[in-house]
Amino acid sequence: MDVIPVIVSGIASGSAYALLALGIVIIFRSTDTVHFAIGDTGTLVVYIAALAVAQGAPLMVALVISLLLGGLIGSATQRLLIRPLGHRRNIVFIALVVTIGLGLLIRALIGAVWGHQATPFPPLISGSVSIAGVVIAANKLLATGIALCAMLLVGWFFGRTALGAAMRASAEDPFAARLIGLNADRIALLSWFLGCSLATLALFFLAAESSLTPTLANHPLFRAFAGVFLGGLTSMPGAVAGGFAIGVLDNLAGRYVSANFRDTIVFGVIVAILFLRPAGFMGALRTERV
Amino acid sequence: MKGDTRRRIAIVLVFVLVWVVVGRAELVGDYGKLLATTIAFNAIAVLSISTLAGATGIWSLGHTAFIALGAYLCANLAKMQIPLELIVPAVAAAAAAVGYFLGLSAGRFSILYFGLLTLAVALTSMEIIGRMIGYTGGDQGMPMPPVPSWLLQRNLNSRDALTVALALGAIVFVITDIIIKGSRGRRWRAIKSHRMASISMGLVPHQENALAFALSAAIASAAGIAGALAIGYLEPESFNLDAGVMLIVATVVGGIASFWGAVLGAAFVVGTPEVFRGLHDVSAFALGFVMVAVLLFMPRGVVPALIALLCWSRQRAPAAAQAKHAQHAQPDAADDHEQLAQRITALAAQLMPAAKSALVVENLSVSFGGLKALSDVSLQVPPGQTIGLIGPNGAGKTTLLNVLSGYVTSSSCKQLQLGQADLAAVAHYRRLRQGFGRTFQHAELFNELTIREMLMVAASVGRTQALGAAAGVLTPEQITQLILEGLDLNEVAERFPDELPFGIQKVADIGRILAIGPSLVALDEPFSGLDHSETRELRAILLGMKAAGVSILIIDHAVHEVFNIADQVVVLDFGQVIASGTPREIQRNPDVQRAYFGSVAHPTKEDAAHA
Amino acid sequence: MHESTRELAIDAKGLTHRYSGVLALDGLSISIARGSFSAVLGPNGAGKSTLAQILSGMLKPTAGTLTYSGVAPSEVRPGHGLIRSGICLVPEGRRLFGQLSIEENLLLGGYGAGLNRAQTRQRMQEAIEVLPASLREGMRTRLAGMLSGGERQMLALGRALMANPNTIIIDEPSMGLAPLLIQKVYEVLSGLNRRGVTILVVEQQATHAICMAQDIHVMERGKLIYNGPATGAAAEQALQSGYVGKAV
Repeated sequence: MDVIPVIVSGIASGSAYALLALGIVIIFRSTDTVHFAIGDTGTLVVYIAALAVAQGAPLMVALVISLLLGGLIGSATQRLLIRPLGHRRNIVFIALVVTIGLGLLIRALIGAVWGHQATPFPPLISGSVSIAGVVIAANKLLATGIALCAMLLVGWFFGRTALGAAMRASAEDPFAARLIGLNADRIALLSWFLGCSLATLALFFLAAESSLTPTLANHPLFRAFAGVFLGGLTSMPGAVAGGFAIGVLDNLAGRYVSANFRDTIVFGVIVAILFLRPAGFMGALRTERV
Repeated sequence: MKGDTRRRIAIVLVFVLVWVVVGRAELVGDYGKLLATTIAFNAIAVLSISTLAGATGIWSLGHTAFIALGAYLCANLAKMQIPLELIVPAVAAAAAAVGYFLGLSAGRFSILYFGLLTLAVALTSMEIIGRMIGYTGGDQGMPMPPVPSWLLQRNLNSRDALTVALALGAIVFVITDIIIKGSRGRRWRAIKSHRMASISMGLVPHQENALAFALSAAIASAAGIAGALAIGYLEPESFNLDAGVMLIVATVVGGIASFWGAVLGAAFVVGTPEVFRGLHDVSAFALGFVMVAVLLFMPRGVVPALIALLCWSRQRAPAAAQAKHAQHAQPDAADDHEQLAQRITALAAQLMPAAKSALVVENLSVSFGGLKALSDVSLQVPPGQTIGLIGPNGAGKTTLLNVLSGYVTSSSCKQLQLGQADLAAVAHYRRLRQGFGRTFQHAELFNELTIREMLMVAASVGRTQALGAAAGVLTPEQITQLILEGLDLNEVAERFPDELPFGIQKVADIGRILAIGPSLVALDEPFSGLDHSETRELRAILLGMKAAGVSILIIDHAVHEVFNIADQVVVLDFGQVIASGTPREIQRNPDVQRAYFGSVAHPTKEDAAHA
Repeated sequence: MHESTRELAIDAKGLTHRYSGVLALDGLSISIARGSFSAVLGPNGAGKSTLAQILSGMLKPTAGTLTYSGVAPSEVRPGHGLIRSGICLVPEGRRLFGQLSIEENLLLGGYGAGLNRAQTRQRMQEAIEVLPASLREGMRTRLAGMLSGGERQMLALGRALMANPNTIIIDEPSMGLAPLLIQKVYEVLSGLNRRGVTILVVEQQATHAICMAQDIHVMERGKLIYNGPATGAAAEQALQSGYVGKAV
């Protein structure tokens, strides 16, 4: 059966999209902002990690530091760029456009400091593995595994801890959250930390797969958005499922329909689905704020 | 009107001036000409984005697809020896058709989703361009073929690019100005300001969005034509997502809804890379940095911020309006309100048709999930009568109004008729056409329209829907003027709703209904939030409307006001009608008293403690 | 009048509040005695909810002063709530977290008040005792959005109790509830009051409030038109004119 290897490698690719999609949704749920620069944030951090690795830092250490650094940059972005926007009308679009600008800034910064040449980035483990008839890089398999662990951890955090419950509550009803004493500012900082950290994790492994360039995040980010559409902008499990689904869909389209029209097919399917279910499969349509 | 024509002439003059200085007077070299041409066609592209954003609130990342459509279609038509003068309208029409189709889908999605979808358009269009090699030359691109021109009786060459760009620019900017400042543009701003209120006014948001999209697509295609001629070579990379982002940057920096903003924004994104020639990343950084800074500190764009700075003296004066209003209300004598009522009667009689049909609601039930909001509610509004609907909070009054407005569907209903029309079968934006109008508890005016503009839109809607007694007789301008005078709104005619005190907003809401002229008006808590003098004024207005023969359904908590004006009163509690009769009967009804504010003879505290 | 001899839990003077052009409160002054059970009554649009939000610290008034007994002025930050100072608001519409379970709603009440794990567990025990039996079933699995109106009101009260408040301001507790359920809610409030919690009920539906409250404050159009015992001719007249107005 030819389809299984395609699906398997699709799932492996999809893990990166799922992580990015999850990050996007976590940030959107908590602060109503679509963070267009989430991928570029991760790319920047991985470039910095590459510096550390070149100085002799072990890769695992670099990974941990990257996650923290990515999170911190995320929190800083929220505090310095998004929170000052306040509560104007059309805040949703303004915040979105601000993050577009930020992405531009970050990519330009990377290009200016590190140049545009593709830089190789070391994988955590090398070699390849054969699964269900398809050969996958061992690092990619590890990436998928770590991504799954991360998502389970996030699920545990939101479902089983008080702070996670507080974040879910705050996303659902900010007034009620304030009413019972929850600190909205702190929760916003935390969700941006989490979202960007997850994105950094994705980029860390993507860099090993296809080498570092300033625009490394572009392609996966668009796939992640497609996944977010599928799953709904407000559903965390939906984002994860959507990300994986896009990975599989992308591979299937490339293999069976046409390698040249992958974008079109993927987005075509999304648009068709949205026509049937504007909220995505699992998300609840937010009342219009614009 | 005069100001509009002046502005349009000024725009044309600017383009002519640039043409003379740059093109004819040999004051700038070829490089300067190229720069001016590039800024010109970029300005047209920015106009397409800003028109859409201004009209619908959608920021499109995918308009490069329409620019590409314009460019490639122009090239292919030119290959067939079709002259530019025919190419331009043909391309614009094609782009408008595609834009209309895409824009229709905007109705299904929230604005945010739609904005994200434009991202998808940007990406997929790149792929499509790359693959249609026969028409586009694929990834390698294709050179622009010579474009014939009737007017010049020869083929256009690269030296004509400036002329074409400026000519197209002048045409596009003036046409857009005419549309945006006209009644179509007002409708778009109404929908953008308040979708719900515009629906109840009979506007059809998804159609209007589609039209706005069509216009902006046509503008973008014109930019594509001008750009194709200027650059002379078409390749997909010119229309990629980065280009789309550049246009967003330009629109943000320049500001939307402004001719100078489009020019300034275009100059900024064209000029910055020139300034940082060779330092691509520094240029990109500067662009991103300026955009973020503008969003944080001058969110409406540089040009509007500068204008605001220069026009500091134009005072927004809610205090002034309030003082005026207080003055007006000062002679508190009953005669004043008597006169007002008479004026309104005359006005309403002139504008609103005497009701001929009855509103009949029979056995209406509405459930939300497990919650029964309305059970078997029946009521009637006979033509020309005023029916009051009262009941405590949570009784279902709002739900009933929402069902009548069409925002909520009933779970079961025997009859929901207005005259001959079965309202249940009619979509919410068509209810007005059947003669059902409503006002809003919080006025819900249109933030981006002045009071005068709002009345103009309402009057023109009333005209197209063939409502209103004056529909065929008076123009929207005349109707607007009548209402402004009749309701004493002349002083605030050019003001925006958020500059006005709440009481005046509510009067304007009534004005909106008068302008439309439905035969039945449902008033949603008209007295809520008003002070004493505003209440008296509203009372006079309502009495005036009633005297003119309009059917009124008044829903309010101000029970004594409802008793004052209603012929019959219906009382709801827990989703059911618990009483119905004349105000006198209702006031004496013990059930009503109990439901509303507790009975006069209540159990003692000891009883309660033992309960 | 007994207020002057009792300590004032809340003392508000000259409260004025404007939003989007509406004057919701017009120079209103009100005092709530410590340990009292009082009610703010009045028709819709009188400004009761605005008052409740301001008194509980959730909304910053346009003008006016607020003092709370036992709370230092520096701790009073209008608009940021006063949970940590022991003043809880149970808002109109309850505002539960519908997508979270009963237990999570209660837990968050403690979390927001800054309780640690042990304290939270203890408070949960106490809050559960106050709650009706039906709420104790499926506390982990039933989402707050799926509960009946009466259960939701009780859960909202329970959530507020988690913060161990000394003052509870509860807005429209009887909304949408059948009389029997309203009775139960008031019983719970009464019980809390007997244990020393100051209760301020804000109601449109005056029936039960008049029975249970010692003092009532009747509002009309942002002003207080009556301030005193819940029974007696003066109270009745105030209620009549506030709600129904002068005779037609």
